[in-house]
Amino acid sequence: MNARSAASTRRAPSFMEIRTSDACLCVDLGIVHRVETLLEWIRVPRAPHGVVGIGEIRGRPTTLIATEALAGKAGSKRKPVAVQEREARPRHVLLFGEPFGNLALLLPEGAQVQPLRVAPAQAVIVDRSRLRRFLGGLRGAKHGMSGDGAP
Amino acid sequence: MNRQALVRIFLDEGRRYLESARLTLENHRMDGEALQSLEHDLHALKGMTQCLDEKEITDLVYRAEELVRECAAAHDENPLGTIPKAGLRQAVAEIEKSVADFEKRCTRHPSSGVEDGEVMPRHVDLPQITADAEQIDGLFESANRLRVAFQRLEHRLGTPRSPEELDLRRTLTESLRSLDREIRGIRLMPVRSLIPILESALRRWSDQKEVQVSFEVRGDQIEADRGILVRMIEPLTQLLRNAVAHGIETPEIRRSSGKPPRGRILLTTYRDPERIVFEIVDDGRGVDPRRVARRAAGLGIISYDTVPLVEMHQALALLSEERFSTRSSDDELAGRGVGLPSVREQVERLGGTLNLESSPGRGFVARLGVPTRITMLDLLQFEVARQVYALPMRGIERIRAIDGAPNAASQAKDAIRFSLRTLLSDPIVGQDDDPNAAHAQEKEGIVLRLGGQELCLLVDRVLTRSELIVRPIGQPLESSGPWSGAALLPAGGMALVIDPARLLRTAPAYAR
Repeated sequence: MNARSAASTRRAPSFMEIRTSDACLCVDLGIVHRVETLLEWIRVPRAPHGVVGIGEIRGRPTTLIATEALAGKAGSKRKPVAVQEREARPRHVLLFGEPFGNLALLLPEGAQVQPLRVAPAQAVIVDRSRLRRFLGGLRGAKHGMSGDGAP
Repeated sequence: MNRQALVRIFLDEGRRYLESARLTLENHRMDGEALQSLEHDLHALKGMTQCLDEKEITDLVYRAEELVRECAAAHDENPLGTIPKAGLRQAVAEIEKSVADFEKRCTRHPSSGVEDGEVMPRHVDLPQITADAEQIDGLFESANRLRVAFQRLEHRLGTPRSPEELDLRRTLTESLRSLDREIRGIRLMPVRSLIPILESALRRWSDQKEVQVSFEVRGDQIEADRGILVRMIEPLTQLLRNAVAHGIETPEIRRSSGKPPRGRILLTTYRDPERIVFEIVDDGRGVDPRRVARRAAGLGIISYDTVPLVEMHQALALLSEERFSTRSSDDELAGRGVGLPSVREQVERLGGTLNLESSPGRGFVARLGVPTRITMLDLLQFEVARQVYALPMRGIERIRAIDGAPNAASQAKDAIRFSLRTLLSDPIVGQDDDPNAAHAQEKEGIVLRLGGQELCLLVDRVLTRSELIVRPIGQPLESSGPWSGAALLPAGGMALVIDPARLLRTAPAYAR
């Protein structure tokens, strides 16, 4: 390793990489608050596509977003979720900082998560503006009492 | 707050815990979750009875708690085995009887709760009006509705058409503001009200542990909502209990460490713009990070290799871990791993925070910050498709049995009928493939009146009624359904709170 690369590897990481079998997401550390363990969550009937449910994180109801939905994977569909996830194994969530403090990304089981300095070329970068666009899409999506929430 | 006020709080809050324990026993299979809920209720009840110094009830609760722990151990060994409920039922029934006897004694001799030697006024010069907290909450709610109705009316009326109308509107606006302020004022209580409870508990615990403690209080004139203060009793007593059990040394040890023989615990209350902060500082032995780390390694929370590397802030974080205790054996005073994690949980459920600091050999600081305003609602909880939901009690007229779907309509023919199962079950879940079979699960109807209209909400089963903290769910979910927030359930988890007005407005298609 030459001096230049040694110096660059000492620089603080900028992203949290979440890698699953079919997606690679790099979340800008500037919008990440912390990683938490979630023991249980409940589904929210007719929630917009991309929302898995809500979980209580340190006394605060937190909306859980599916990683696949944020990755914007083509053809990603709503998957059946268990009604109440109390019996499920604890899962990790990536809690966003303010002003997205009521949102968290539900990390897929078996996902590899690591801090990265440079995002790989094929990765989907999730930064403040992408998260805003995603939320705007959720609000504009057909959902609620008159639809089934499917996109 | 005098002893009688403490008794009132105990009878009010303590009954909720007992009711919750009884409902858990009646409605649930005794699995790990149910046992944990029972343990939580009994532990909270024990804290309250200890504060009251009611030894008979405390002993009964302690025995019941032990029984629950034995059951939990049996369940851990054989998760598929059945835990018999009879012994637990008997234990809870004995506590209920003992609490009922205590209440009778208090009713016959209102001063019977007063300790020997405690100076209490035997009479008051002026008659006092007492109001139930629920009634005050109702008044508060009515004032809120009045204010909203007035705002809507003003919006409809538009610009005032005469000076008299303008004057009337101003008078109404000012009166409503004043009403709101005064009702909030009624709910306020000074922190001072809690001090006798804390002092009494501290005195008993220090005697039990043979330590000498002076208890100093600052900022006790600060006032906060009754709902918040009542919910702070348990975490504060737990922290004081910890200070005596783990912090303050015996006089001999303190002398040998160059400290005065009498330990010191200081409770300071202060406000910042949005929070009320309770700070408990003791000058005891503090936290030894290595000892905490060794214990954590013993429990498998960290590896033995990392023990020498654990710093103070990491040790304090470990202390707040669920089921962590630095004591190797349980005792009645210190509890069993339900100390700091339980404090943290209770404070966080109020939307607050717990911060800890310590210097080895010099003491421990616990800082609880809670919001000055929390929303508490009296809620009816019910189950639909195996998920718990809640409805505000206000407006609910009655609950009726529904004998299966075919007769549901005829049994509630005066009301607009909503099948919450249809409304709330998500087609994507695919659990209700057969609509008739699904509706056959609807066994009860919650009848409520809304704007002159009677609604009957068909649900699978009604669970319980309780006053719960409700927190907003925020966007994007807030506008995705008839939700007014999420209620934090006493046993952990949440229930979505349904706003009946939104339900009626947005889902006519689901009326049956």
